[in-house]
Amino acid sequence: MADSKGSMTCGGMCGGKGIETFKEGAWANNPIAIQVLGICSALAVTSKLSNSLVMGVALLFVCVGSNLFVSLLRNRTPHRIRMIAEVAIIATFVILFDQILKAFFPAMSKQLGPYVGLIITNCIVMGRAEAFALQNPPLLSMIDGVANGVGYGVVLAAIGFFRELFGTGEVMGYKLLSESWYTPNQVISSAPGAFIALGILIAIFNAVKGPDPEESK
Amino acid sequence: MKGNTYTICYAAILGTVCALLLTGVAVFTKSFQEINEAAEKNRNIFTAVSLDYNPDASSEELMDIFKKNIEEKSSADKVVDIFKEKISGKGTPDELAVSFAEELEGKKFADGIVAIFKETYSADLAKKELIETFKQNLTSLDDEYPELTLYRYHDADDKTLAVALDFGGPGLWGPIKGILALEPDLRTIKGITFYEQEETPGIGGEIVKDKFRNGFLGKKIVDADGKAGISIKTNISNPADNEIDGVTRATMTCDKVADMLNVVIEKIVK
Repeated sequence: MADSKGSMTCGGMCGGKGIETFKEGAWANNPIAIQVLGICSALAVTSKLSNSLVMGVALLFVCVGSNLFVSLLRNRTPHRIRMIAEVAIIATFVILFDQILKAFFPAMSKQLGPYVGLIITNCIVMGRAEAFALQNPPLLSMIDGVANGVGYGVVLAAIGFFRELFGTGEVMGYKLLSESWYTPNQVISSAPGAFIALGILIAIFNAVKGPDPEESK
Repeated sequence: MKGNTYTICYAAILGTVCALLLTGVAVFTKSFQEINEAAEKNRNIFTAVSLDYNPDASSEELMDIFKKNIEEKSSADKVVDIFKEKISGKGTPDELAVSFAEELEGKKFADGIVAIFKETYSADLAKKELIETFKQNLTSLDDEYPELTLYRYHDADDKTLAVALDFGGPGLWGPIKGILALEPDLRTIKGITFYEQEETPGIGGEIVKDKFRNGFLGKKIVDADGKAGISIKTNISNPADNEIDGVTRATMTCDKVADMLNVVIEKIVK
């Protein structure tokens, strides 16, 4: 995290630094494909595209909200209890989202089951609060939250899309693969399919990104 | 630099702010969540009595369908009906109390209900208020009262198509709750659903699957001699009318389901 030691003020640099932060979070250091963090939920809820999207939105919301507040309070939070404070802030946002989902989208809430609540323990959210928001100004931290949320959401959506497509032959209710020539593969819908899909996705991601310069030294 | 006092104050303030926020959200969303829960139960009642409905319907729409097609009647409502009839009839309060007691004879809580009857009737109130007071007093009777709530599914002409009722009890790992639907004869099973269970996935959890639930269709809740009760067994070659095919390897769950069903079945047959 060499670039996080820069100036704390958000002057003219903010534009360039913001874009850099976004790229870092969503692409170069993608939480799932590169850091392989938070894959518990990524494996569990990706049997359908709609579930993946809602989960992505949930993480985006929590990540942005918690990063913002952790950053706002970063100079006032006593160092000794910073982690507990972070967890409290994260938990507040998670429960907020969970309650709203239960009240207005009960069907979706039922499908996602405990996984929305489990965002509290998602290492991405905690990791960003600890590694980024504690050292950076609020706006930049929010951008980092958006970047990681998008990075997580896009990967989840991709896995969800392919698992739903090959597992059921349809996506969001639209029949894409005709049953006349394609037999839906149940394995893709069940747990092993999640591992296979995630593995293939990480492989593609790394192939496109090229070798890690630090590792090839 | 920053002392213990500061740390403790900081933690207290942060904790309070978070708690207040969450309380606010909980209060704000409570009514919506309650509607959703009620709608979820209605959904199960519809499935059990095989009423066709749009599975994507919103909670409000489900409540409407419920109002249109289902009449909710608890055993307390029945007692209130008898009460109405008695207070419209002639006779001294004591005579009415005696005939009221006769009608309730043998029922659980009968003594308590009769006491409430006497107490309510001695109050000097108009008839309508009397009925309201009686209803109110009944709720103070016992936590378990009313013991039974029936959901009568009727068509546009008010013809009964099915009767559904709640059942529930302890499962192997947690509470099981569901809806049992009977044909209008009140002896033949029309459908069953489970809307809350925490049984072992793949074993006891299979009770929510169609395969197990369909095994109930057309079964009787009494045996050949008219005695109330069902049993859930596995590996039966020649099942009797009140024997249901169970889930293999889920004996504990099946036994518990049979037990909780028998509790309500006994009440129905009575």
